[in-house]
Amino acid sequence: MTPAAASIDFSAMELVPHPSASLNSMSLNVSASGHVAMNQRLYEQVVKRVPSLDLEFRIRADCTLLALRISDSPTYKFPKGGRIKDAAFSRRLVSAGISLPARYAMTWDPAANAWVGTLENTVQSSMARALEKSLKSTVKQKKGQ
Amino acid sequence: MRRPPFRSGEQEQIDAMIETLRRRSAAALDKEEFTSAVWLAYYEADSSYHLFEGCCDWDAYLHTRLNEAIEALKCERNRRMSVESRFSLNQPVGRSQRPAIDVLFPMQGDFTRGIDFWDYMERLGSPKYNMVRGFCRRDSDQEIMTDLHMAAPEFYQLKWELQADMWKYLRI
Repeated sequence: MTPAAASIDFSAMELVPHPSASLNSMSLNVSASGHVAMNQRLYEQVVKRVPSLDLEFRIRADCTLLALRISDSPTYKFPKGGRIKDAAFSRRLVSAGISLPARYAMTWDPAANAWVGTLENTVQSSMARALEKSLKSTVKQKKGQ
Repeated sequence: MRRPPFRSGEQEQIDAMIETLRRRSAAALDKEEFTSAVWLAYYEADSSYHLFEGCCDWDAYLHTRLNEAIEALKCERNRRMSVESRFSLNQPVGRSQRPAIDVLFPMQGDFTRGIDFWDYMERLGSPKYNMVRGFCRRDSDQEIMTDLHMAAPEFYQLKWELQADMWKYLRI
């Protein structure tokens, strides 16, 4: 059967969505060197609402969900540029079985008055496995440079 | 960038750690080869830790990297096991007690490349130059350290740097 001759029922076919371009989406990235960095898009959004970059930074116990919340009593200050070195935080992710680099896809939640991020990595079975994967992935990046 | 000199007692701690690791996990390996590989892994870890300090603390990182180096050494040894048996080029030939590799491939080089090579080595400074002279004479690490009056940390740091220098040389 040639495609031209086929009678097509479009309603029976699923729509393939356009891939979401990571450059256009907001994200918070955590590197193996311990840097926590907003991407450009997120930074622009945050700095527009909170020029001081003073925020309330919260994370769920399993580290798969986090929030950067606009608050009257902020607890976490990102420096200009939206990138901070926080090895204690990144090690906490590894302890929770998340290998580095980790990426949290962020969206603005008006009800919570916060940017909420969900983890894009797979959670590893154990801290040892996450550590092993983190060390290997960064070696690959280093060799690729 | 070269690391700051060891603090008092630090070298002894590392020596003790290497000896403990050797006894625990690699007693069958050649002691000098093991010591050299672990010291080189130590410097590699020291230079790369900043890339990984968000993953774990220094002790855990060093432990991981040293164990990787030991595993690599064991794999290499296992690979060579058959070679080093009856057909090894390190086996002495006849009554001369010279290894087969010396007889089959005597040390002689290409004149032009030799000039290039030693010119490059001279530019690396006299400590490295003298170390390479020693390696070319097939001296052991210990013999070179004794000849050049070098302490182990300095020797292994220079040896580690020489690896990178040799890769650069091969790319020229």
